[in-house]
Order: sequence, then structure tokens, then C-alpha cells
Amino acid sequence: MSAFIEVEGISKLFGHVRALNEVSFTLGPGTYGLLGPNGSGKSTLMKLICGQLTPDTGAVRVLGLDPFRRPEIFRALGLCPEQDKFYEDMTGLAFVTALCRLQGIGNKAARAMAERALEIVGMTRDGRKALRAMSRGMRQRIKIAQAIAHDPQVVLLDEPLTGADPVARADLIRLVHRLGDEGRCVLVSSHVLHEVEAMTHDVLMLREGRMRARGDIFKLRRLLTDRPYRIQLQVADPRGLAAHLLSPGHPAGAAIESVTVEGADLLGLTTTDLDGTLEALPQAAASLGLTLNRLTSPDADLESLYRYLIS
Amino acid sequence: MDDQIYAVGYRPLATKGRRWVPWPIARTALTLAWRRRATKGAMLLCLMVFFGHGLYLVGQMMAMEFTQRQGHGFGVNSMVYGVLGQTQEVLATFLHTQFLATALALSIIGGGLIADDVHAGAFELYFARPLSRRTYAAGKLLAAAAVPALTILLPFIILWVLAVGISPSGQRGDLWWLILPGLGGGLLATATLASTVVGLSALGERGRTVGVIYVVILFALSALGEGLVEAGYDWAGYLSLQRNVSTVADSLLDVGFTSTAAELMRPHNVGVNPSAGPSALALGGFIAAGLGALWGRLRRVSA
Repeated sequence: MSAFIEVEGISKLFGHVRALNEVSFTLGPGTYGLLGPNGSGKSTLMKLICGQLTPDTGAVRVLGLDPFRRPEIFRALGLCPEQDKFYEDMTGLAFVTALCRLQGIGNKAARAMAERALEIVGMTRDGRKALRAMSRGMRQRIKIAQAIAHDPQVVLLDEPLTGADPVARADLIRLVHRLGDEGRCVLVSSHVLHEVEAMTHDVLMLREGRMRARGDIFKLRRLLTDRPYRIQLQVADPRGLAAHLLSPGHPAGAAIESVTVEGADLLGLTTTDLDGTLEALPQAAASLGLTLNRLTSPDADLESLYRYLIS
Repeated sequence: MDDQIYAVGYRPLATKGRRWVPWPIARTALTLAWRRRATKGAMLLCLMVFFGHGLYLVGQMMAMEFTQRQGHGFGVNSMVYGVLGQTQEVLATFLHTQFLATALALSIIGGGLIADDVHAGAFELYFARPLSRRTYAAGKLLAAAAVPALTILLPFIILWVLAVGISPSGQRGDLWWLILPGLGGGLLATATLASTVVGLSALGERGRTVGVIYVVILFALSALGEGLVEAGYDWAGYLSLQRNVSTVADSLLDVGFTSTAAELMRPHNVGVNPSAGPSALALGGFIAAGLGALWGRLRRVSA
């Protein structure tokens, strides 16, 4: 099976500014998060993938074709752009129908496609409103509807949750999961890390035009061996538990780098082996007759990974 | 990698059975334009020009029929022609006048064809569809050309059919040949208006501003052309779009003389150039400039 998106050593210059520098990756079916600070090259990369820019060096292929020279690829590619300006006088349904017609299909079929897409994003009723009368969240749903209406295999979503209320966000996150689970390749570009984390654990991180990391969040975090994991736990006797963990011969002791009593019932640990330590802690507490009230690892998430790699 | 079965997954592209895409592009643009009250007003103006010429044509034919039935001599017939003009003169005057009215309508409808897409960021959405820049340009040109086709070409055909249908039997033979040169003039006017408005729209970012600038340029060029011609610079007549269209239309329709009625009906202060060939070339230059501006914009969209 061919890859859905193949990027081979692409670079893009804007004047003297190198927006992307030798970026390579391959994406198959599934959902991927594209992360990076402003100016990292996310938008440039999205534009290269959807054929709105050509790379100065390297090559981009979507479903095996060059998206810049082969516009027929857009029969299988859907784009939800970041910009939020449309033909304001149109209704949501008319807007999505008009864009479906650009796929080269008849009006009736385009309308049926648009209605189905609006139903998927929960805009069946509100889709009849003029775009100018819609809230930001509704417009966001319309943008997603036009991206998925023609049943594409590759979906590019640029900041898809901007302006959506919490309920809409939850719905859209579910939708993105569904699109990925159906076997499409969904690439989501976003600044909001917890939203990306809710959609996928597979990320691409860009910094200053270079690919900083690519892969599963937890596997990437494990690769940062110079950054031990922090664990925080709430227990009645933190000192007793700390002494027990650090006692010679305790199986978790070798991985633990430091122990800090952070309060009357709070204990902080740093460890190089998160899984081993998390497994050992309940047993250690039980052996002392203690109950763990709370156990968290505040830096085993996407935000910490982003902080370590990008910030 | 685990074996998995997906609902969608990788599948070959469906390439057959696709429809022609420029029409949906044009239709969307025209639908949006029609929602504006100004568009309806401008189209009403074009309709009035058409009806005015239609009524005049009927009156002219009735007068000729009357003089023929009464069996008046050559002197009376010449007087009637001198006052009311010939059929080809009415058709040529229609082309001149409707050109102006259509230019006004196109400034409202066509000003935003590209400019509003630039302003709304619609390029990103358009070019995330299976259409090339050429297809997009064809769609926009089609939208712009649909207006003069509806206000100039179609009414011209109706006027011609009307003239042929109700003309005195002795004159019908003279009217048959008018359709092809008339349509030629109309097509040239359509191409000129469509390409120039789309070209100017490609240079701007606000439809209304482009529309106003279009009308100002059109009238400024006409005034400049006429003024310089009056001052003895005959070449300046080729700067005026309207003068060029009038020259070509008159030449194609072989309008030999100007009647009293035509003097009254024609747009004021617009003459004709000495030769139709350079006028046609000048119009070709305007068309090329418009298409060049459009292509330049589309090339800048992607790099």
C-alpha cells in the first residue's frame, strides 16, 4: 500500500527566510497532529501538501501524485483552511454545495453530499442560515463540512477547533477520531496542545522550519532520557514512603533520581523509568499500609514534550 | 504494523464522468451578484435600452410599411429614411448604447469576480478542488461574458428576428445578412467588456472599488479619446473602448449615413475612428491586457 502523504527533503524559501528546511516524513492512514510555534513552518507545510506552493527542493506526493501539478488529487483531498472569510451572503448549505460542484458533479448530487456533510458536523438545521449570521463555531463546522463532503482520503485541518464551544469541540474531536479510524489520513495543525492530544498521540513537531520530532507522544517522551519524568503523589506519610523507596535494594530505587516532600501529604519524585516506578509505587505504599490518594505524572504529556522540544 | 481493515483507506482516484467545472464557478459568482439591488437596477437599465430599441424598430417598420402601401415616391421614402433611419442603423445604435449600459452593469457584477475572492481568501478553497488555474479563469470569464451575452447578444438576435419578421416584404432580403456582422460586433463587445472587467478585478481587492474604477477608466478613456481627436490627434480615438466598438459595429453593419433619429438616440460625443481595422486591433489589445492581468494574478496565487 502506498503512503497517503510523502514528503521528501522539502525546503521552501521566502526571500532570505527559510520557512522549511529539509523536511521529510511519510503518513499513512490515521490522525496526526502538526505542532510548532508561530513561524515554525506549519502553514507553509500545509500549503505545500495541498499544492498551493511548490517546494524549492524536494518533493511532495499525495496518494502518489504531485498536488501542485495534478489538481485531480483534490478529488481525494479535503482542506479546512485557517482563514475565516467566505462569501458571507451564502447559506452554509449553498456554500458547501457550490464547493462540492467544483468536484465536477451535478447540482443534485452536490446538494446531497453537502447535506450529508452538514449532518455529520451537526449543522443540518443551522446550515440554512447565511454565513454572516453564523457564530465562529458554526462557521468552523461549515469549513470542516466542505472539507469532508466529497469523502476524501486525505483531510488537512488547519486549526479546526478555533471558536468552537466546549460541546462543539468534543463533537469535532470525536469526528476527527472517526475520520482517522475509517482509514483516512487526517493531518491536524493546531496551537492548542491539549486539543491535539485529545485527537491523536501521533505528532509531527516543527521548529524554525525543521522537523524536530515525529512519532507517538509517549515514545518520544521516553526518548528524552536527559529529562526524567516527574511523578507527584498524595499519601498520608510521604516521608515514610520516600525512605522506603530509597532504601537499598528496592526495585524502583535505581530509576528514581530525586525525591522531594512537597507538603504534609505530597511527595514528588523524578524517575527515568516511568512505567517501572508507576508499577512499584502502589506496591511500596501497600507494604507500608498506606493508601495512594492521587498519583499523577505532570510531564508525561504532550505539553511537556512540546516544552522540552520546542520552547 | 498490525493488519487492519478500514472503511475508507487507500483507493484509486475516480477520474471519469466529471462535469465541466467553469460553469459552477460562473454560476456561484452570478448568483452572489444577483442578490445585490444595484445589479437588478443595472439589468433593468439594459432591459430598458433593449425595449426602447425594440419599440423604435417596430415604429420604423410600421412607418416603412405605411409609406410602401400608400405608394409614395422615392422622395418621401428618402425623407422617412432620413428621419427614422435604416434598420442596420437601429441595430448599430443598440450596440453602442447597450455597450455603455452593459459596462455599467458589469462594473457592478464583475468588479468583485476576482477581487472579492482575493478579499475573502477564496483562492485557498478554490484551489483545494480538482481545478486548474486555467479552469478558474475560464469560470470567471464565463461569468463576466454571461452578462453582455444576456444584454447585448441575445437582445440583438431578438431585435434582428423582430426586424426580419415584421419588415415589409420588399426589404426582408436586405435584413438577412445583418445577423452575422451584428453578432460579430456583439461578440467583440462582449469579449472586450468581459476581459477588461475581469482583468481589472484581478488587480484589486475590493469589488466595489474595482467597479467604480472600471467605470471611471472607461469614461475617462472615452473623454480623453474624443477630446484629443477634436484637437486633431486622430490616433487618440483608438484609446476609447466605446469608440472602437462603435467603429467596428458601424463598419460590420455597413451603416452608411446617420439619420436624425440616430443622432438623437446615440450616446453623445462618441464618434467613430477613421478605420475599423486598427479599432479591432485596439480592442484586441484591451482584451489581451485584461487576460494578462488575470493570468498575472493567478500566477501570483501560487509559487
